[in-house]
Amino acid sequence: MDLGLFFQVLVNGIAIGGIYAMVAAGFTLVLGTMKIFNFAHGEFYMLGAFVVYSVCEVLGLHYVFGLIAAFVSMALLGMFLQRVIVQYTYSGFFHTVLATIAFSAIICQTAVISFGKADRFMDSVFSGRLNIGGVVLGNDKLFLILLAVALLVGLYYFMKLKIGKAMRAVAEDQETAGWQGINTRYIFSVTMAIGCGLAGISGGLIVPVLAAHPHMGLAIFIKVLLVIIIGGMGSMPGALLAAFLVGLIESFGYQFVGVYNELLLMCLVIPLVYFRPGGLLGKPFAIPE
Amino acid sequence: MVKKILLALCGVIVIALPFIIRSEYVLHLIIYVCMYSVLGMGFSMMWKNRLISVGQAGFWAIGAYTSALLVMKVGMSFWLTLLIGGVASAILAFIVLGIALRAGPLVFFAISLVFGFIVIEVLGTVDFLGGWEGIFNIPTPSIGPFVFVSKTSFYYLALSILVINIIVYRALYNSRIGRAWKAIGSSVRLAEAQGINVYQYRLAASVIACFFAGVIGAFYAHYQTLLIPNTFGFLQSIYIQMYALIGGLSYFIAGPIVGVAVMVFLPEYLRIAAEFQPIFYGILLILIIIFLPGGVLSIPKRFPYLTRVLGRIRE
Repeated sequence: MDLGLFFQVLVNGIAIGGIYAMVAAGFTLVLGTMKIFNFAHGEFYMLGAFVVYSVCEVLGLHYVFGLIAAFVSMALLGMFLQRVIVQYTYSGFFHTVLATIAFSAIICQTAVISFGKADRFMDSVFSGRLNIGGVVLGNDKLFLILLAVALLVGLYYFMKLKIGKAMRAVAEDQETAGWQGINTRYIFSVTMAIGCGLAGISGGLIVPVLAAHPHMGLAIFIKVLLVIIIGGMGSMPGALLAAFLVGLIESFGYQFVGVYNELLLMCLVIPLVYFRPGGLLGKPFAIPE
Repeated sequence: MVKKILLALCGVIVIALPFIIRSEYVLHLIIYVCMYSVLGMGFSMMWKNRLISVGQAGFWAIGAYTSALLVMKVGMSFWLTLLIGGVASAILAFIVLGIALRAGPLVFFAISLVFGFIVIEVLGTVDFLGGWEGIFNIPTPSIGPFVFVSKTSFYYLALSILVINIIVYRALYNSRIGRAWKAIGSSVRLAEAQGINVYQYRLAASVIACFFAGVIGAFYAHYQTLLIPNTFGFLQSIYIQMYALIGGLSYFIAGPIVGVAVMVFLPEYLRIAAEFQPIFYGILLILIIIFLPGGVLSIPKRFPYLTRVLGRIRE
């Protein structure tokens, strides 16, 4: 493997890792703060991709408007899911899981019916490519990596704000946070909106690079689950570290073992769980009873 | 006494069913009910331990493929591979789910889901296992000169597997193990304090459930005579838990059977297109979780007024 190819694969891995990191960050935020296992998280990613596709290709607006529309619409849909379905299924942790599974099945099948099973391709938005010492870097991919990093940094500073502190307090202890005068229902809605909005915007980022497909939500959800298992349930730094790790493993694995790279990931995860049940940077996640 | 008579009556009806129903298609659906009931019961056995497995279809597929390949490539007898299919899926469950359980129920949930996907991927990409087109012309089972061809004979085979399954599960639920599971289900921490080894009991439940999933998978392979990896996909695993949930998660044996019957026959009679079925099931599931968390079988308990009115009408 020569150096040029190596860097090419490395950059691809970072780009995939950036997408995983954004989806996993939203998922971890929801899991850590609300103690909800949002099974429909991948579907928000898929819908975000289709929103960007429709805004840019069908309405003919600029890509940036598509991304904003994806974020806003997915945030609203996330709030809908929280207010209308999840809130009434608090009878048990797993009842919520089952409800979100049903929700994801509904969304996925609706997308199949309305968009069809074919891949939807979009023209490259930032055409042209950067050539750094033999490494060819598409501008789309560069934009993806930069925006992913910017959004993750933005999320970090958001958690330092007053509302971010309130979210962390709710994550720590819901009841005590309520006694401190924090409106937990409001915080829940905000958390869900941010988490699902991040998923939607990352779906929008992937459209010019790959394609939009109704089943892509489930595919990325599997990867995000692997990321969460590796990083540790409910641990944000762990999720980010693991996301880039999984992205790199996948990118290099594709070079060496081809189609079997998902099997490779699974084979890496099982021993990891055996030796470190809490993931790389977490402790075993306790399910609220 | 009344209960026993009712049970005997049910048994007679179930045995005489192929002679009452003359339609081949309805009998085919009833065979599916028997098959899915076994899978649903496995799910509710894990649920008794507060575990959710979303990979049951994966273990089902492993049983089916093991049996089909052993019969076709090695030439073993179906009756042997029926057990081997179950054992193969139990061994995989022991390894994969055993490791996943160490990290708690949530990781168990996630790993079982990932496992279900990996199984489909491997079955599809490896050419030796048939690829995405699947395996065709799997021979049907036979005893001596008698070959299973008619739906009636397959119905009795499925029924006997289901009955054995029910007997084993009932025996387990009424034994020491079942009481331990019940304790784990009501409170994990309390069960630990009573000296119950939660990990081992949970592992036992998953391995037993996956064993029966493998056995019924082997039956499925020889009933359907063709296997396609995509039929064991993610949606199938979701359906399996819907069966258990719609019937009632606290009814471990009757719940899945009722749930499967509802799920198989309701769309048939409502004539819902296959495309809209997941949406229909999804909405049904959400409504049941919100308004009837105990499932269909909990209706008499939840609406005592209704039962009283019905009782008065009967008088």
